[in-house]
Amino acid sequence: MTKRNNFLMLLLVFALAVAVVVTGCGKSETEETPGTEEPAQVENVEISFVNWATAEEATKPKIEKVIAAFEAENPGVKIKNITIPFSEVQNQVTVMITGNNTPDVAQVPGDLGVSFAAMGALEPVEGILSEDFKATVTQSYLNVGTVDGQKYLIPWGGGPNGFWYNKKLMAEVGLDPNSPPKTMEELTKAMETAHGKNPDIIGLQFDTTVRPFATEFQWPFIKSFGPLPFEGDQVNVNQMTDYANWLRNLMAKGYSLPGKKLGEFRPLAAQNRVLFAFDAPFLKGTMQSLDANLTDEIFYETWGVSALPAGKDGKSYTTAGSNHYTCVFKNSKNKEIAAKFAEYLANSEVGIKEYIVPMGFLPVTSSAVEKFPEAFDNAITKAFLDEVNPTIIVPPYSAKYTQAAADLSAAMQEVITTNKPVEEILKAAQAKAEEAWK
Amino acid sequence: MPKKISHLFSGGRRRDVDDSPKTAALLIAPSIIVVALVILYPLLNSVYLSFLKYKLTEPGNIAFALFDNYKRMLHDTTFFIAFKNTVVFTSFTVVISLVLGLVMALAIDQLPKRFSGLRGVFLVPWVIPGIVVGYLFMYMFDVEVGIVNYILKNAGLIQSYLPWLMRNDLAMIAIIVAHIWNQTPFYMLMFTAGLKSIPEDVKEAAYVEGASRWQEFWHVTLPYLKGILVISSLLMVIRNFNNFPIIFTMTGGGPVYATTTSVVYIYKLAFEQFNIGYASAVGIVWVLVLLAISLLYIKATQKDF
Repeated sequence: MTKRNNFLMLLLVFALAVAVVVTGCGKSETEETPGTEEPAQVENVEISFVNWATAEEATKPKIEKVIAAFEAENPGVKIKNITIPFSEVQNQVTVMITGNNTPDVAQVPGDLGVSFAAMGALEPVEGILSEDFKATVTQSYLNVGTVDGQKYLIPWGGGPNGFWYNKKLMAEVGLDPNSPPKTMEELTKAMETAHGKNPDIIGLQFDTTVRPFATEFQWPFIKSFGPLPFEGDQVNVNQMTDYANWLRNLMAKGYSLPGKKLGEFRPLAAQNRVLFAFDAPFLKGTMQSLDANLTDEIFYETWGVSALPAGKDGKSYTTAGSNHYTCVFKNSKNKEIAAKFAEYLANSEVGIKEYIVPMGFLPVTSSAVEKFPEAFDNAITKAFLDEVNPTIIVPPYSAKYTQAAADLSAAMQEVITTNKPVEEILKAAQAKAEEAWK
Repeated sequence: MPKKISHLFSGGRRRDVDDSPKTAALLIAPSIIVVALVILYPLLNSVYLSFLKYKLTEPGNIAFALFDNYKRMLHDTTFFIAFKNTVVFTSFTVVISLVLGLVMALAIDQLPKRFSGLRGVFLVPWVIPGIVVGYLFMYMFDVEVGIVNYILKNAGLIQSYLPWLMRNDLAMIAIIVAHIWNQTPFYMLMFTAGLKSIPEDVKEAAYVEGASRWQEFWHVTLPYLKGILVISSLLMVIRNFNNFPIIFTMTGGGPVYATTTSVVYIYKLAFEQFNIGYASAVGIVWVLVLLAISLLYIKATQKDF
């Protein structure tokens, strides 16, 4: 082989290598969604949908039915399902955003959705939601996703945390099953009684992981014991002593399991080991998916729901931390169709019948209740609508909230896993929170 | 004039190959370009990002911050906790795995040939992905259903179940145990290969001279294994300094920061706090630490043990 031929061959190899690299890094043309802004002219549109609903056994078959129904009703539209577990959504979607490779729609919790909006990755919903949906959606849910006056999140399923009490277990340990604790003192006393009778009983489902979600979970409890950690420009972490002491006592006495995610208590609840839970309405659907014998009849006999026991000020609180939202990304080439899909998930007949109702979510539109009154006519849903919903308080979601909330959850974990004086932990946490809240 | 060598034959025909430096450079160029794209570019970009005040949630507030991120590190207690955790975790994991791997290799080496298949069985933990190992040990150390508590309690060693992954003094032990289980087979494999390379007559000579089993091991076997010992240890130090999946799966770096190693801390800064500028600065410092260890490794591989 001549020297010239050698060179040409090397050049060819080089060109192939570069081509492979460029092709690998770039987005394939076939992945593009050849969209149109007009849904009426839809033809071979693919909507990529990031969600954790298909990552969980309890919800996967249900949501797949809704997706199939949407595709059937919208010929030419294909939903590309991208399954990401709940705990991975934050980092995976963040990578997608930084890589400029966002999906069209994603399922997000409220606080994370606000962070994505602050990153400038989301499309405001005002211009893409239908007038019908805007007229019927619950405004308090819609308002959660507000950043700089614009709304970015589309409510999908209502999930304020309610206080669940296991009537059978209460009776077993000598508590009145028809009289759940009304105050934090009564709650502690009830857990003490139950633990004394049966140490295997888990007194209270309580999320003490290190993540913003844990802070949102604890938010109503914190409020019950004193000032909130972040209010306006104020940082009050060092005033959380009463709450921190209560939390330390809760874990030290063995009334709950330290370091567990909220979801990790659900199988234990399905095994009838949890006395009190503070969880979203879909706890019912989740437990039923874990135990096929847990019929509606048995479930309503076993579990009741009320507002969280009242704190020092005599009031009950909760957050809508388990509300499920969807968001449409700014880079989507089919924003209207993406929004239409998000509306379909939340408010279509199929979406409500196949997903919202069986999972136990609260409806996010008034029309859903009007259309399916019987579906929401049960003791649990009524308790959520009448007793729990009015106690919702919304944490100050913002770009800085995510960091401050994560730091605070770390401090609360320090409270339950060390013997350090609570005041010392809170003092350090205050300094950190002030830095984050600047 | 490039030198031509004639050592390749194809179909009975002799072919000349150009082995000049220029051709060598051209041949290696595609690989260099790919490496530059996938390693060098991100690295240089990270250096650039480390000089910025850059939070993903504040896209309108990105500014050049010179050494602010590096200065912040000096006052960041979590950074130093993570550094200490990394050193503790790596030291214990490497040393214990090394000793166990050596013992296992020596033991298996003594077994009759029909038991040689055992090596394959012992290698299983090494081929299991980190994330799976993490979940496996997370459940083994679970306070409620973990088999570790069950065994210890039935053996009378503990009175009540311990929250292994939620106690500062126990969580680090749990992740070290998981890593030792995962990595010991690697050492066993390396030492087994080393033991096979020791000439039998050298060992026999030692015994003829009246050496005991221990003296033979100390003066004959171990010197032969010295090279493998140094190189594999350095390799595992680098690997463990960067270890992420098992730690993150088992504890997420907790409780609080008890098992937060440097890579876990970088991850948290970038993906939980969205602080790309500071995460990059910590990452760059970490690259420098690893670079220093890598240089030791390269030097070790060039040494004649």
